[in-house]
Amino acid sequence: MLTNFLFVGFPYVALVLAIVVSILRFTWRPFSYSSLSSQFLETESLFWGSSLWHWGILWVLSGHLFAFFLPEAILAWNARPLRLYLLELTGLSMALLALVGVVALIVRRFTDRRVKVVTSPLDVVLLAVLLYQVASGIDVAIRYRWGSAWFSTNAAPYLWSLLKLAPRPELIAPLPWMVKLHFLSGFLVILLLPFTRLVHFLVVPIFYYWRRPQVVIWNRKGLR
Amino acid sequence: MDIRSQVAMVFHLDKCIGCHTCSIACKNVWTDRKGADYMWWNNVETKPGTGYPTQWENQEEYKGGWMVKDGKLQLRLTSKGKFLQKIFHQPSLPTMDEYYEPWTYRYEDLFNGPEQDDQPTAIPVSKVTGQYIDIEAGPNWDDDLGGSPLYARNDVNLSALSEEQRLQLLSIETLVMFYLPRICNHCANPACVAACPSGAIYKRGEDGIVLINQNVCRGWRYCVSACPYKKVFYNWSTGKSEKCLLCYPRVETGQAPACFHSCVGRIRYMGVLLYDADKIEAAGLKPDAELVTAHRDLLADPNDPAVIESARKNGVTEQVLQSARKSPVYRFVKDWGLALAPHPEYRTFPSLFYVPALGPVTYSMENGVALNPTSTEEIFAPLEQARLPMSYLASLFGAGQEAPVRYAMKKMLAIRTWKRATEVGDVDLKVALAGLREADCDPEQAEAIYRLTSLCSFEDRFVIPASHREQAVEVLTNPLERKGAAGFGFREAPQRGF
Amino acid sequence: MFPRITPRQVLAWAVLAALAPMLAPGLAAQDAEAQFRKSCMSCHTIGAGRKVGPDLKGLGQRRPHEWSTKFIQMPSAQLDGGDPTAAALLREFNGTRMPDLGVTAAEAQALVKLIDDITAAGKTLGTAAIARAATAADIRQGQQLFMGLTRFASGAPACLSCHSAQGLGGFGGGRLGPDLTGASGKLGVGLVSAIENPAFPTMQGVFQKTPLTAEEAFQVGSFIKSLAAQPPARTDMAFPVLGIVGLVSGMLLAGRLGRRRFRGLRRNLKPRA
Repeated sequence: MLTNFLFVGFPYVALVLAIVVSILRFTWRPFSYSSLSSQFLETESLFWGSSLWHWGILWVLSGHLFAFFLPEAILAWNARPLRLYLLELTGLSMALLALVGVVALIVRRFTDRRVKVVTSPLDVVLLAVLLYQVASGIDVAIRYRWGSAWFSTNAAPYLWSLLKLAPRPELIAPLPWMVKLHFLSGFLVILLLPFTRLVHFLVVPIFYYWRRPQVVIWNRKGLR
Repeated sequence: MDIRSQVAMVFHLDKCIGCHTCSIACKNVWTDRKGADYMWWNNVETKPGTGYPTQWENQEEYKGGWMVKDGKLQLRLTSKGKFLQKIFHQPSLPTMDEYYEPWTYRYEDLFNGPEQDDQPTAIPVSKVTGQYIDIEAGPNWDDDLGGSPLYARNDVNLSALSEEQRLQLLSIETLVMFYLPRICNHCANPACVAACPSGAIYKRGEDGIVLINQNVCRGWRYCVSACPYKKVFYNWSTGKSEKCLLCYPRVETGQAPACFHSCVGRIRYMGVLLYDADKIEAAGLKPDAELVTAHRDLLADPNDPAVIESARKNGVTEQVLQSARKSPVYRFVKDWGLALAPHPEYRTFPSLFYVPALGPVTYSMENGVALNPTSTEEIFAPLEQARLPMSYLASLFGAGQEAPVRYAMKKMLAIRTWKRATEVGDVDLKVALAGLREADCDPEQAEAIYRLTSLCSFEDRFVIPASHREQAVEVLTNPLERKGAAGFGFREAPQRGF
Repeated sequence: MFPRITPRQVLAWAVLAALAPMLAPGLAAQDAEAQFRKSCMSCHTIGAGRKVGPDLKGLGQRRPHEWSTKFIQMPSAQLDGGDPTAAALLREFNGTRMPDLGVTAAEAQALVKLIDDITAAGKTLGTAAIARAATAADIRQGQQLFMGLTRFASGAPACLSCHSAQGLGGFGGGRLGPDLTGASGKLGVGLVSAIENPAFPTMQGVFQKTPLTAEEAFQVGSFIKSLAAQPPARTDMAFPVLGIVGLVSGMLLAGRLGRRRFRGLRRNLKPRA
């Protein structure tokens, strides 16, 4: 019963809400899509917090995504123990960077007097969940290690089973509780995505690379 | 040839009295909101001085404007390839400390203070945090040369002066200052537009006004650094950037912007300029010494049939073309060569031009009688004897070139002498005429300049074609469909986050 | 749009929606043979000889159905409850306890019936253990397979992914599952079949799709058995410590890359003459 709620119901609700609410919010409340940057108010500790957090977490997330899309490739890579160690060590270092970053961001948000003023309750919730996510991930990576391997064998098929609408919660139900909590808070982040400033990563401006520098808009002709 | 029309501006610095009415007008209309409280889309600086934000002209630190790299124009802030690496922390972003932390006073304490032995005081509190603030800076902290060892002496333009000139400039017997009112220049080659990763900033085709689409802006804050004049501001409450709109709702109905309208000294002129967009890139690549000329060459003659035809093809209306022919800005900038763009070396090609301040009249007296100039040398002597060295003005308006500044100043001096000759009569007309000729002027032009400078009416100064945008809006939506709506703006309040 | 629906309301509905699957029935009752393969075959056969536990052929004749059903459901009840049959079995099979596998009453009954049916039909279920003695080559191959230097034929992941054991180089093995150095002592004869048909829930999801061959299981088992006398692998700190080294290098790199960032101007202005 609990398994069904936690590993079938909850992930589906999180995914559906993340997609639907993000789209609706973009259509009807585009003004609310902003990174809500506070760099203007305080820049020095943000350098450490934001840079370390973003670089670290992007690396870790890419690793998770890669293992999700190509679990076989990860297993093939891991066939040589040295390669396995290298992969895990890189992931751990990056996760530690992300941890230091998010802790720096949290400290900054509560101690800098200007930044405190622009902090909403959901910002706090999001930071707490992200901190837990990174910390639990590091704990899992060390305590139940070689997660790159058993993610590919257990978690990736489970996630795919969700997307294929034939959920197999039994793949991760027997895993240790720390691992399951890491899963769940991951889905919690997905659930929180459309309700917080996290939407800013949905509008990363990759188009800037090939956009022409000047933008002239005519009333009658549109973009010219 | 790609002729577009631009609503352009001239500020006559000889007439600016530094009253800051323009700043207050803009503040009360647009920027008295939370998050915008520290913004002054219009500000008035004292020169020599560091301005607002502090030392904004220091592009080594602030990384604003364009530069020529490998024969191409590139933003000083970042290259296209590297911009994404800096998005998590924009390394050149000025913080609120560079502007100032806005504050107010706890006036209620004066009324609600407890019974006590001392008088109640209204303490200064920050408008950001609401707590007591130790005031360190304001938007015109160095107004009228206040704190000059710290501010005026750190003016970036002073590096163009020799040591002797700098000492003389700031010693008390030979003090000089003038006011520099600044708004967004609505440039022809805006760096802010090019720097915005999400493409939220755009230049309007019809009138050249540069605006930020608040629904597209994501707060990546590259624009703030990219503008070399620091006239794009980040709203710390809504998480979006904002800038001077040139009061486009007013301009669209043919009215002058708030700051223009309210100017006490009547220093502001607004008119249409036609410019050739095809020439912009080539002009931007010219070396510093040729920039003033290149900028002037961008501007097209509104009476030239080829120009008119190209403009019509772009949809420029007859009304706009007519205004272009009567444009006071065109006369100051192109016909008379009196108005110069600020810091052309930033390569953004501003649409705002300044007529440099001629400075106080200098005279010698003998036995209580003024000694008027008796030769052209004596007419133009004040130029070299001026308290404000030509090299300072060259750094500010000429991209380091003294020639265009000297041309403008000579002409104004000659006209001043000419008017003295014709109105007062104690200067020899022949000498005055010779002076005019040497300054590349004639009595007809002198008269026209005099009228437009000193005797101008509202209609002379503001020649703004109405664009009747409300007619375009009405085609698509009924502006009155929501009771109490004005037909413009958001349907929901611009509130922070979700 | 949606002027009356607030984000809070959306969240409330979401929570309710998430609870809905709780009403769904549990995992569908599997067919008895699939369950036998999943839960029982690692230690028992029907008609192929004893492994970790007894050959179940003819169970219906040896024990009352009620006893068998209860035992399958929760062996610990009989083993700890002083049941004499259970105690005798424990002695006979080297003190190896049958684990509680979470089998429901209905499933246990189905299994008992299955055993009866297969016995009556004269069929066998399960493979006999490989009887030959392990050679040095077997042990070496087992180590290769354990560490992943040789991949399993079916593409199954290396044991190292989740298990550690003595005699593995570098950082050592995984820790999702238990250290296997002493596994042969615990499972005895049943080691190889436990590897071939793992009953452990975490392993099942993987190894049902990519099982080991009997030969591979024998080789891995031989390797593990060869470690029997050794202490379990030490918990080492090398991995987290190196992670911290990575962290410090990363921070130093970040500091170096950002060394020319803007650090304030107004407050750093110095008065000039």
